[in-house]
Amino acid sequence: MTARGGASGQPNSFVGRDRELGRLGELFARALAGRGQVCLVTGQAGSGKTALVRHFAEEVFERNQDAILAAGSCNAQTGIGDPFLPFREALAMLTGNPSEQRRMPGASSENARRLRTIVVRSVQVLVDVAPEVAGLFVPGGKLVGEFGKAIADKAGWLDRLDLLAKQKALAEDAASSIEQSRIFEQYAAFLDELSAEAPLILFVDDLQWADGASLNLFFHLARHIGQSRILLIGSYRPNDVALGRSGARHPLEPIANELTRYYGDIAIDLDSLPQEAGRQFVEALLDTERNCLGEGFRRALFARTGGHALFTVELVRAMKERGSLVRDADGCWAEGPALDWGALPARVEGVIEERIERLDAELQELLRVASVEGEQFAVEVVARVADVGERDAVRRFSRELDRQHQLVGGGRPARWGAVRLFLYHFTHNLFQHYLYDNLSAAERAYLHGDVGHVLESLFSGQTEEVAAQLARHFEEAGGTALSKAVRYRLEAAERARRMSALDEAEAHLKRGLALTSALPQGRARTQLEFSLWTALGTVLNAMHGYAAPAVDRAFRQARALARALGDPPEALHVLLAQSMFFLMRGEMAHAWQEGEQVLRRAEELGDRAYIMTAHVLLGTIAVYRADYARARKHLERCIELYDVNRFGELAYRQGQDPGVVAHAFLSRVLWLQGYPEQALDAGRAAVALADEVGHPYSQAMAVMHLATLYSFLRRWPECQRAAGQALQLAEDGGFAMWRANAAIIRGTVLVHQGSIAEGMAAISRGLFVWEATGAGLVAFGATCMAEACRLEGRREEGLRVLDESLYRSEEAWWQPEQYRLRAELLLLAPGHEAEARDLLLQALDLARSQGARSLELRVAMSLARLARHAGQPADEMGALAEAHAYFFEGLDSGDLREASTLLGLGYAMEAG
Amino acid sequence: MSVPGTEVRVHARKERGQTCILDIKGGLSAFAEDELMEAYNRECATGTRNVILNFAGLEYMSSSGIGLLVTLLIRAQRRQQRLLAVGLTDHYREIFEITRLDEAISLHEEEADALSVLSAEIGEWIR
Repeated sequence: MTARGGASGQPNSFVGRDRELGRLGELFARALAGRGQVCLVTGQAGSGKTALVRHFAEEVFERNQDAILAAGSCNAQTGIGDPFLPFREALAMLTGNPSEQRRMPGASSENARRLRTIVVRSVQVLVDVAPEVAGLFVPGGKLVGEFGKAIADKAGWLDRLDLLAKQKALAEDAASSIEQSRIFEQYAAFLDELSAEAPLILFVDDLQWADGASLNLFFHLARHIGQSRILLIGSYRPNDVALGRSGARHPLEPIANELTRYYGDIAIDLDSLPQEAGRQFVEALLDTERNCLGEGFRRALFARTGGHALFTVELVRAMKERGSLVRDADGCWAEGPALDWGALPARVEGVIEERIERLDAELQELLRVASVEGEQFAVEVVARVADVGERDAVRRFSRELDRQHQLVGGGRPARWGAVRLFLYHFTHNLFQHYLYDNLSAAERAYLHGDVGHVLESLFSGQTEEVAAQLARHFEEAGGTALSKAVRYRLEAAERARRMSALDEAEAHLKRGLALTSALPQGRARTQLEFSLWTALGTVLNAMHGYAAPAVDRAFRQARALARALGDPPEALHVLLAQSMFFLMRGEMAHAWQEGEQVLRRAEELGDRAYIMTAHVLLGTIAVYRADYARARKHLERCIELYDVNRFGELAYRQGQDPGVVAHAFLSRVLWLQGYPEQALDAGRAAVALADEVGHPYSQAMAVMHLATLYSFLRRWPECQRAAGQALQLAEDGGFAMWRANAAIIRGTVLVHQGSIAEGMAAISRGLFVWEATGAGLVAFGATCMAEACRLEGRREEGLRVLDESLYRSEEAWWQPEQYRLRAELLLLAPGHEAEARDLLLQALDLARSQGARSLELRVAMSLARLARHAGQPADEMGALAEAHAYFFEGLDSGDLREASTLLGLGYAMEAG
Repeated sequence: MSVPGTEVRVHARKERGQTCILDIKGGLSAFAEDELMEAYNRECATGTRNVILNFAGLEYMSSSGIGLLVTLLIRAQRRQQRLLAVGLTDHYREIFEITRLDEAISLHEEEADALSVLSAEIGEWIR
């Protein structure tokens, strides 16, 4: 057994664990060969997870000249509500922020040296491949300041950093967000590129406290580093994970299971080490210094600590301080006369208690205040709350609590814009827990309030940086501070939304709502509740779609509160959302009513953005109601008012770009009215605009509309490509509605390419997902399935699907096609010709009354085929010729080509 | 292929004061709307906090049936009610999971399981 020298953290000596180090070494060797690896280190608090990784990194540094370590730690106090915290810390480490070295104190000097040598390159890579991640993740708001102008200037890309900083400010002004999938892709691309320069160990500590966004990013990286020189290590406490989160399964659990399924056994479990490993740890620790401690002592020590790393280290330290262990004349540690096993602490908490109680009263007080701030704390905050001079506090923390007592570490500066703070951390979170748990409820409340107020004043003007912390402190303070807690929940939610950390945003808003019940009744409370419900509706809308029950609930609550407040201008957003809800539910009359209200109110307020949005909304509703003249009037008015330079950011506030929607629905109207080429132009314009705006939801919507248009035109190869692209966009962005829609179109393509069973399965799955989003616009999807049934000869099933859609839907636009397909299905069994013909004639009248020339043509073709089948080909040729005569463009498209053939054939038979 | 029966029968019953159970037998499609909503309005719309959908007798559910459940969910949520489902076969349980409807309607094996969960969570709304 090799004894190893101590590091400054806890435990202060790293011994044993040869097997685990060997395992990590094997994984790193594979990563070095360009086969990125993942490892999960698990164990209870104090079992030595962090120490193991830290020591492993030191070993790697001895063998490999280029390897670097980046690390981030999840926070027990605010981790769940602070999106991407560990990954922001790791990124800051890689881009030269020395304050982020604190988690790895043992490795800091060598690692910091290595990081300094690559910082220019790492920032350059960040700017090149992950500009949006840079804008969102690097704290402080001024990127150029963060990275250092000198370095940037030297490297020749100061201008680009300046531009990034400006873009970030712009994005903040516009309250914009980027999609989580892009954050993931850019972060992975950044690490991949960087690891080509220097092999990377990325360590995420304490995953049991991670926010959902960080867990998803961890999973994404784990699945995408297979060809990079990266070893990704996560650590967590399985007992905490087993307890779940908020009454549900802990989100880390399925991720760990999925990674194990994918990679095999990737866990190093420090709790399930064999007994001899624990005993070896005790032996190795004692043998780090000369001693003459016998078997009896070693056995007793192991019996007391079970080989628990922190407990063993702390107990040995306590025994030395008590005189239970003394040096003999030769300088060897030996049992002292004061050794009394019965008087020694039986649990690790007991050892911690003894250490704290040996400190003087002022140091204890400083630590108590620090424990309220959290595992990591700013010494300036502690000083102000404890009413101690800042310099004095810094001195006592660095000289006594850090160097002498090794209870805290760090002490490096961190900047948030103009704010500079010196950050420390407890060397083990059990120290912080012990101190915090021993405060009375009243002490905690007052201290939380004090910490909150100090943080608030330090971060004046940029409280969003610490909004999650402020919310927590004011919530714990209670009483009159609660309203502040609610306001900071709102602010934290907005920050999370901008990072596309929607789960976290939802959690903040729901917590804020729960807190409002404790606030006094009155206008201020109503205003807060209105803001919370509106923000919640917007977040849920992005997650689940416009028609989801949860979205309905949130906006209904917001609407009621808006009325109580006298309908403030902000209520316009709620009105718009409710109209969208009714539209997507297929309740057209309601949707129209609400849409008109939006337009009226927007005109009253002179709000051009909402006037434009109201026009596109009314235009869309009119399409579904088959009122094409009105639809074109509103859609074209929107396009007229739209200016991408002025309104390009609207999508980020309203959920989709109004200009894109207007072009997309205009393309549909144009096709229905018999202008297939113009329809294609409008559809392509929608895609081009969506790309220009760069809003993923709008992009998915535009491409999906284009795919649908290709299906109308029966241009299956183009349809397949566009549907595939739409599906990818929808999956990346997590847009359930577009994912379902793309699945239906892809299934339809398969059906028309001959893979009917496979196509029907895809359509069926798409229909289920579509319905589950609450969307009631089912007519088009139902006809896709009915057409597949017709081709497969599944008459009854096809009829049932169609009849269900006709029974439910208020969508007049697609009714001619629903009737036509019903007639075609009826004809699959003999003896239904008359019924089918009646239905087709009904469909023909309807299509003509709507001015839906494309649908009229389809119906006329079905009638012509029926007549031909009955041996009377001339009967319906007049209707077909009439329908065909309306078309002056797109004559080579599917239906028109077939109509021409049919007309030629019909005339030929008539002539014959 | 024969189309499974689309006839549906919905029986509503009260359980432990604030809980209502809807026993759904037969096929759940768009055509079940009247039957389902009438049963719900009759027994569950008022004085009810939790609605348990018992699918033990379910023979068939179309995608429109899922749409109908979402409609019911919207109505229930407007009344501050919670929906639970019991007795789903593996096939339909999977559909609930694929469509993520299980996130809004909690799934339980048996009626007794759902009732015991409710006893433990009574009074809770925003979770």
